[in-house]
Amino acid sequence: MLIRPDRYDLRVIGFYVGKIVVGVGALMVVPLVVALWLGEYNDATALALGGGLSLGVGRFTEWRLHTRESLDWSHGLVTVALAWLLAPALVAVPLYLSGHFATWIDAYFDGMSGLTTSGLTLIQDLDHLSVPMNLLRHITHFAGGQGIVVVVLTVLASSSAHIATLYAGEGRDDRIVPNIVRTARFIYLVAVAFLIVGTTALFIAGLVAGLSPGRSIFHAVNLFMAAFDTGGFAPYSTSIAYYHSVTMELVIMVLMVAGSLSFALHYELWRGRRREVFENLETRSLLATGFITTVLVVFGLARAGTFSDVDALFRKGVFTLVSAHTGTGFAVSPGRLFVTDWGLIAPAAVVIAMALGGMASSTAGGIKAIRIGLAAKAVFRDIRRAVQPDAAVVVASYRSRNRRIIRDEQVRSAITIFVLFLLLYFGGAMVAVFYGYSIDEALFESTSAAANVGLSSGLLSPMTTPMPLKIVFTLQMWVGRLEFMAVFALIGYGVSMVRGRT
Amino acid sequence: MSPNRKPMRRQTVLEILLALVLIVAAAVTIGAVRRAAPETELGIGVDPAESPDDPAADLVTCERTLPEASTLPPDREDLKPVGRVTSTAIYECPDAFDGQVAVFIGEVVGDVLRRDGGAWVLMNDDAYALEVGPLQGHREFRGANSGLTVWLPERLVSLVERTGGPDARGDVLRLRGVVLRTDPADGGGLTFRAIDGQRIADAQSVDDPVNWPQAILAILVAIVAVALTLIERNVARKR
Amino acid sequence: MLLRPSSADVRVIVRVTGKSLYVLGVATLAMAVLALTWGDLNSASALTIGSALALVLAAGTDYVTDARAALTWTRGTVAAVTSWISASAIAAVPLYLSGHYGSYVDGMFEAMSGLTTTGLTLVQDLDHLPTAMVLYRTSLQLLGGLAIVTVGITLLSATSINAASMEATDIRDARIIPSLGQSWRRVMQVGAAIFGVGIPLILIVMLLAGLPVGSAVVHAIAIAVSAGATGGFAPMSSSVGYYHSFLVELAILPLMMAGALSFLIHVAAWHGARRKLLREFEVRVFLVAILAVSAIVVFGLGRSGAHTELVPMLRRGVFTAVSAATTTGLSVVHGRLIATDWGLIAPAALVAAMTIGGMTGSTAGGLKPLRVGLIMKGVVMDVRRVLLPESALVTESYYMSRRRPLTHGHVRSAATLLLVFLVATLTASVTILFVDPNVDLTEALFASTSAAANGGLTVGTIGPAMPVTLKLGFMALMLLGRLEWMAVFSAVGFVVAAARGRR
Repeated sequence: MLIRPDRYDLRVIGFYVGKIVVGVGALMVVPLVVALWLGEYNDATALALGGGLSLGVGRFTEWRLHTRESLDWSHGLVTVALAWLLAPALVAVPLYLSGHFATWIDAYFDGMSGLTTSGLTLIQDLDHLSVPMNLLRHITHFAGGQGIVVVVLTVLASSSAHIATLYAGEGRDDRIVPNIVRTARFIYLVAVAFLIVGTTALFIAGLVAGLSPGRSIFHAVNLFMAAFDTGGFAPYSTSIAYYHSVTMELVIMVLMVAGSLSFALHYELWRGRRREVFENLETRSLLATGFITTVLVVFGLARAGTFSDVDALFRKGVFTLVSAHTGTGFAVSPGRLFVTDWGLIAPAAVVIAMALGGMASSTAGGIKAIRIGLAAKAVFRDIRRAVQPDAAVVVASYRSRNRRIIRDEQVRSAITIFVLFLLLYFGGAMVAVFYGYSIDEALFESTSAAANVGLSSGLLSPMTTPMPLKIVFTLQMWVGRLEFMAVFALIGYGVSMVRGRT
Repeated sequence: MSPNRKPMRRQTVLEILLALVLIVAAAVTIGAVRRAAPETELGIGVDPAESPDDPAADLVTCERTLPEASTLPPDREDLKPVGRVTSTAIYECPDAFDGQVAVFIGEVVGDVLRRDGGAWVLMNDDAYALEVGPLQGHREFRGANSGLTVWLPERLVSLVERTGGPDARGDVLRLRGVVLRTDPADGGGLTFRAIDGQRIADAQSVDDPVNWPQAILAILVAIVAVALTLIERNVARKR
Repeated sequence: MLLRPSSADVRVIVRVTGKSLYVLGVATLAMAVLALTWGDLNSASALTIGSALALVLAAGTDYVTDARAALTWTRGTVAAVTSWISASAIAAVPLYLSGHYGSYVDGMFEAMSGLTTTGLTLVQDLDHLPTAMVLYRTSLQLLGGLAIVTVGITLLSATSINAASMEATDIRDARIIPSLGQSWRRVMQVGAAIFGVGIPLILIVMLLAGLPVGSAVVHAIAIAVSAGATGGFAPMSSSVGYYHSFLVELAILPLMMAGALSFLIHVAAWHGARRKLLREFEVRVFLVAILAVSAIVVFGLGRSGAHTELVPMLRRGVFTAVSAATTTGLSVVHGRLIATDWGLIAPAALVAAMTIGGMTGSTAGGLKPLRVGLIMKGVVMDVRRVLLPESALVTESYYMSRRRPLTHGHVRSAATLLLVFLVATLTASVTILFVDPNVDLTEALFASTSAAANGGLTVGTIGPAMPVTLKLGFMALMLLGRLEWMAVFSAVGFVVAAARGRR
């Protein structure tokens, strides 16, 4: 039986959502400045409108719903779920005004895609999009990736009361350093460090590829944010194929992998504990699945006759696989070719890699390596127990910064979410099939959305995709990003508001 | 949770309803200030990519052939093109076009990546390129961009003077060249290697005048937002 | 590290296997005698050879053992695996000798399919198969069905990975399992009751459908057993579509359902406690699953345009849905049509139905509704824990002959098995794609699920022309699914331990 939330609960939630909304407004500042500098006045006013709206609504909420109450677990989850529903709506304002989106739903879709670091897009005529708007799209990756919530709380937080609940609600249940605010700030530091190094590297790669310096900066900044935050938006419609440059592809691969590693791992690397890195369950799981899927992709491509020389297999096959497994979504081939030219095994391997995802507590999506690792260990433990039930008690453990014992509860939760993700992938695919698409495209697109990857088989198109299907994909991106719990909490809240006991 | 729980009062429900009404009103207002109806038509009389429009191309059927390494054909001047190809047709059945000499018409967008004795460019043959022009100048929605990546040898790079972007529809080129399904020079990507061609339409700037209703609304909202911020700060300080 | 099995272990296993072969031998001998009375000498001789092999081996095991060692879980499960494999190998002999199977492997596939009550078939020219062989296939399903129920109620548990950790109230001593022979006898009694009613029922509707008396008797036995044991073999290649009779289909439905209900439910119903049955958690989940799947299949049929009138849609849709949900495998439409004409939603629902399967302690396969239900309850428990105040104690429970608390262990075992099932099915599908480039993804998934869940519906991928590796792979899948995975792993571990373990 659930207890009906009262006014105070709603107030607390509203207050913190307000804080986050203000943060969304902050996103629009940099593109606004750039727009003014470049003389793109319409973009500037659009961004000002969006920013002003966010700021206004947020401040208003903070004023009227001010409270000193702390968040408890349920508040935190509901706040996060609502925040990720509202923020895209605000980002949609300048996007819609840019004129590149046919309807509000399209703009909202892109907002959601940006903030969940998915990378699927319903934008029209991307190749003629203005610089500030393009920058806004990529900045949503950056913000969403670092967790809007965390960003807002470190910049605007006054009290650290129960910020832990918001943090964990995001699906990150790993506290690196004891103090939550310090953890968030550490995340910031890592991001900034990579920002400097990564953008410079991309800038140089851009010059090598033949871009002029001014343009190279534009591409470098945008690509960094999309790569490190494993987003997937790219400045031009041909994604990374635009550059035709090995250097660029290599730098981006490094950044994608870095972005899919958990922050805890970055911390360990920072502290120089390399042994820890390789004994970590997540790293091992990721290496194993990465290796297997890469082999499958390369093999599948060779077998289907798509590519026959090593160079192509690496630059197209391996790159796409890394992009899929890290949840980035950069493409080096036109999406349609996945269905028409890649045979059956290679796209299947790509879908599997997308479904599995990167590490927990990183910007990647999907089922996450820790769950795969725990599930695998649990299955092996059960098999061992089946094999030798009369022997001594079998205790399984795993390594994640120190040796921990696998408890039933963890395994249960890991496998449950694993299964829920599979249901999400198949459910979305079924809806697409219902609308007449083939199962290969449907499964590809659905997995891409639910695992926040961003590779597209060509199914998602602004003019031909039916509206309900767009909404379904938007919801998939939302649910996948929040890893179910926050969404269930929100639904449970709604249900209990209607029927709970007082 | 607080010890004395108060049930949801009617006031709260009304507040929530009011918020919803405001949201709808905001959406409608913003939608109203969006850019006005189409102004310039930048068509050049060439059909954009929809389906293969050349009878010769119809004869090509989509078959999976056994793997054969794509090789670069010699740059012979007398190779006859099979007809005009469009990007969508090629993506639907890349195998059928592999190695064919064909004509491709498209708008150059983005950057000209000069290196290795030539340049890589992205040429779109969608409606934005060939029919209605960039979306900045009108409101005809035609979906996503579609085009081919083209390799221009050094002697053809000068064909491109201005590329397409937010402020212009770029130069439109008509090229004769070879379609390669897996171009080794691009690490296996699908490219169009140009042999010769000409510019059939010059770049045209897109007029994007300032949208005054939007600007005014923006200023108003900004003022309200700043006011609210100041009020909230004031109230917070007093607490 | 693994301890090497002792000779007592081996003796017990051999003894149990011998008993199973003995039963097989007797049954085959009965079939041989029947064939003789019909004057079908070729079938009679083939069956006699099979029977002789089985009986000789069974007799042989009698000499090897004399131990009165107890049956533990490990011994039981390994014995189950060896029984199934050896029985399939021997039962394959008469099938192969009948000349209707391309190779011995095909024959073994068929035998395994019958003994695991799957229903996938590699027979060639079924429509001209001698009656004795038809009945022989039928008898394999009967034996397999009764056997799995016996094994199920004594060795397999849906709430824990191995019965060694079953609750103490279920078994007095967790290490010693009640006599398999005793369970077998009880199961046979229930089976006799079901078929005692089922066969005459089907016989009547078949006569009404217009079959001549002689054929009607044979068909009635074949179909009734196939449905009641949730097998799936049918006497003619068009399966139940052959009769074109609504009454026949209607009569088969309750038999399929009966086959998929837990043996313990049958016993309880027999003793009159019928209303309590609907309180059982697994029964509820099972019924809900059947209703939902039927609805979706009918909907999918309508949408794909395969049928435009309601009655055909309901007839075909509901029958196929129930056939899938009970993992029987009898069909009213040609399998290929499911892939080419039924769209995608209906086949997807069928795959889901087969995955969920029938109840524990029945002849049905699949994951079992109890596990699916426990997983869902686990999710609900999580959500409630999140939403209630941190100090509240959150528990869930489920009703299985009495109210029991839901523990993490329960959900964990169920979830683990689901995972294993899904991974195995997906791997099998990818392997099919790999081996046979003409198959598409949906067909591969359908076929793998049908094998792993012991369903039996086919969309045409499984046939005599399959590569040998695929045939062997499917045989393994059928066995793994039948013995609920862990038992097979236990057997593998046993072998590994025998090879490398320490004393």
